[in-house]
Amino acid sequence: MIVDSTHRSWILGCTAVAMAGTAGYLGYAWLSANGPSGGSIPGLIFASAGTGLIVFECLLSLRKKYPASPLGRVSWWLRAHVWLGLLSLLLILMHSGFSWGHGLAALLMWLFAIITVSGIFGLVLQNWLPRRMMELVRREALYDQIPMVVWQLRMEADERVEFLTADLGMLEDLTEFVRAGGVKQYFDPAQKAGAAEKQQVFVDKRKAVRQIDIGDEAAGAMRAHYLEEVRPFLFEKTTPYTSKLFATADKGAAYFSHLKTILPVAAHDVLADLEAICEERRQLAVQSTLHAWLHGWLYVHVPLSMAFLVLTAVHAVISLRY
Amino acid sequence: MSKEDKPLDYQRRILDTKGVAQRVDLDYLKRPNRFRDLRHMLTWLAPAVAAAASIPFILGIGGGEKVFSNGPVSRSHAIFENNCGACHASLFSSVADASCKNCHDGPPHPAKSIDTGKLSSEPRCAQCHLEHQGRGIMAEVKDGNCTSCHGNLLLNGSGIKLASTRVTTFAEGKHPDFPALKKIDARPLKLNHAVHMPLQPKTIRNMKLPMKCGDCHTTGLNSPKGDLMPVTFDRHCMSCHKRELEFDVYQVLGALSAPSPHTKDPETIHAHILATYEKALAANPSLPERPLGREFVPTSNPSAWLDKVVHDSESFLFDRKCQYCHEYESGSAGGSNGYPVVRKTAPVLGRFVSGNPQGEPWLTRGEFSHRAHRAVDCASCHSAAKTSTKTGDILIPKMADCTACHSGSGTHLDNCSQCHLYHNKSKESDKDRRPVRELVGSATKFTGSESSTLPSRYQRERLGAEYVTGGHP
Repeated sequence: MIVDSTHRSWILGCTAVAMAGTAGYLGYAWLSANGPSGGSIPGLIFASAGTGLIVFECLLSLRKKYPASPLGRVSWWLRAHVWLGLLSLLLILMHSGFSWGHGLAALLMWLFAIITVSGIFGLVLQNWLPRRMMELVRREALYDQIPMVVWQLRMEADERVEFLTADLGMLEDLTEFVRAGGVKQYFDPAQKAGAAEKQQVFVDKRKAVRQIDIGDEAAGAMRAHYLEEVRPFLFEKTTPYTSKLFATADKGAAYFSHLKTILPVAAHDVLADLEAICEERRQLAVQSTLHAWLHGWLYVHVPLSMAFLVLTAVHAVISLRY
Repeated sequence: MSKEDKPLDYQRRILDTKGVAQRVDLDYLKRPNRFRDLRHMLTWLAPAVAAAASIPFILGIGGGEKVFSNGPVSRSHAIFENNCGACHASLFSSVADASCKNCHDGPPHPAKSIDTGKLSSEPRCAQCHLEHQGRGIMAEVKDGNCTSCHGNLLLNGSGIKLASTRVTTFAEGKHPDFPALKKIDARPLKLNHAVHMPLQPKTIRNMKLPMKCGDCHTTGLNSPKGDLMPVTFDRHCMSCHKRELEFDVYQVLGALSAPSPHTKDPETIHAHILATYEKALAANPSLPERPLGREFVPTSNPSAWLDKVVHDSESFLFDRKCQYCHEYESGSAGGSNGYPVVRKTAPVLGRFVSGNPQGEPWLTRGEFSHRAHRAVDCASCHSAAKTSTKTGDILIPKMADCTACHSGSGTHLDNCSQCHLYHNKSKESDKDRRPVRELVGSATKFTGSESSTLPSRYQRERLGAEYVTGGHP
C-alpha cells in the first residue's frame, strides 16, 4: 500500500484524535494524585478505546478473506489499519501510563511493540520495494507462477541448445496446465492429432541431428557448459555456484561473452538467447528475494497480532477480576 | 537437398505479450503454496498457543497467577507475594479497606490529636497506598494525595484551624513555617549560646571556646530518629561549671572543700554544708580562733562560728551561685524554712511548658530525624544559635532552611510523607482493637522519671537510650 494523498484525511483525523487524547491524558496525569494508572477510570477508558481499535485492526484479515464484502473497499480498510493501529499504540501507552508493566502486561507491551514495528517495517517496504522491483525486475512474473515460468525457461533452453548439440538426454515430465493468453484450440480430434504429430516430427528431427553444425568439439564444449553451468541455474532451487556465476546481469553477460569467444559464430544466436533466458531467470530470483522481504514481515505481524488479541482478552478479564 | 534433409530454421527468441501470457497457469491458485499455507497455519497456531499457555496461569497452577501481577509488592507485603487473595478478597472490585484492616488499624486523619478538622470524605486505603509499585515503602505516598485536599483545605474539610489552607508543594513561600517559631520557650534557666560559642576563639578556665554543638546536644543511640537527649547539669555542664556549686565563702575548708550537690532540695544542700564544716571543725578545732573574711575579731565560740559560716555559705550559694543559671519561685525566700524555691526545670526533650514535666514536642505536625541529617552541619540549619543570648530564643530553623535541600530535588526527599503522618498513630490499635500504646506499655519499663501515666510515644522515641522495650516492636 502506497502512502499518498489519499491518506491525508486519515492522518489528519488520527492526529486530531491523538492530540485530543494526549490533552486528556496530560490533564488526567496532572490531576491524578498518584499519577496515571491502568486501573483508574481514565486508564480504563484509554484501554477500552485502544482495545476497540486493536479488534478493528484484526478484522482486516476477515475483510480480505471476503473481497466482495459490502463493508467498504479493502484499500479503505488498509488505510484505517495503518493509522488507527498507530493511534491504538498511543492509547495503550496512555492506558499503561507509559510504563512497560510486569508479567503479562509487559509481555503484551513487547508483543504490541513487535507487531507495531513489524507493521511499520512492512509499510516502509511496501512503499519502497515495488518501485525498486520495477527497476531491477523488468521480466516480472506473478510470484506464484515463478516455478512454472522457470520450468518453461528450462524447457526452452533445452530446445535451443539441442539445435547445437542434438539430443541432450534430458527427460522431464511435461506438465499440462491451463495456459492463459490464448492457445490454439482444435475442435476436430483428427486435426489435433495431426498438429501433435507434426510437432513430434519437429522435435525428433532436432534431437536426432545437430541443426546448426558447429563441429563435434564445439558441440561437446557447448553441451558440457550448458549441463554443468547454465542448466542448473534454470531450476527453482539453484546451486550456490551458478547463483554466484549469474549473480548480476554483468556477470551473466561476461560468462556468455566468454562462451562466444570459444564457440563458433554459428552458435552465437543460441548463446544470445541462452543469455536472455538466464537474465530472465536471474530477475525472477531477484523478484523472489524482494517478494520475501515484501511479505515476510507478515509471518511475524499477523500471527503475533492474533496471539496478542487472545492475551489482551485474558489481561482484561484478569485485571478486572483483581 | 530434400526438404526432409534441410536443417530446421533457428528462430530467435521473441518475448511478445502473447508468449508471456501463455506461460501463465490459470489454475495456479489451486496449487499448494507452502508459504501461504505456513502463514495461515501460524495465524491459527499462535493464538491457540497463547490461549493454551494462559490456562495454567489463569488457574493459578504453581503460583502461576503471579504473572498477572502489576509488579512486585512492597517490602512489608512480600509475604503475600504469592497469595493474591490475601488482599484481593472480592471478585471484580478494588481492594476493600476491610482487607487492609485485617492487619492495620489505620486510624483516621487528622494526623495529630490536636487537629480538629474533618475531611469532607474519607479516602479508601488503596487510594493513597499504591501496591505493586516495587519493593519500596508503601507508606510513602505521593504528594498528590495530600495536596488534593491541602491545596484547598477550606473546600475539602470543615472545622479547619490551620493557618495555611493552601499548601500545594514543598517550596519556599508555599509551605508554612514551623508553628514553633511563634511559640515561647519559658524554660527557667539562664543559658547563653553566644557565650558558649563565641565567634572568636578564647580560653576560659582552661576550657577552649567555642564549644561544639555536640558537646551538649547528643542524640539517643537507641532512638530510631536520633532524637536529641536532654541536656543535664551532671553530664554536660558540670565539667566547666563545677565551681558554681562551691560554697566555701571564707576559704576555710582547704582540702576538705566539697561542692554542694546539684539538687533542688535546699535541705539536702544545707545538710551537706553543715556536715562539711562540722567535719572541718573536728579536724581543726582552732578554726574559730581566726577572724572570718574582712572581720578583725574572731567569733566567740565554735558554735557561733559554725552558725555563721553555714549561714554565709548558704547565702553565697543561694543568692549568687544558684541564680547564675536558675530562677526562683516568687522571691528568693518564698520557700519552706526560708530557703528559696528553684523553678523546676525537668530535663525536658522538647519545648518547656509550665505544668508539664515531660514538655511538648517542638514539631507537632511533623516528624524530624536528626539521625538522617547527621551529615549536615548543625549551624547550617540552626544558624541563629551562635548569636543567641537568651534561653527563650527559638532556634528552630525556618522552612527556607529545609527547602534549600528538600525542594525540587525530584526525589522522595521532597515528599510530604517524609515529615508528615496521615494517620493519627497515637490512636492506632492492633487487630484485636487494643491500643498499641497499651500493648507497648504492658511490655516496657520506663527507667526515666517515674510517672503514674504510661510514657507517650513522644517520650519513648526521644528517650530511646533510657527507654527499654520489652519485646513489642
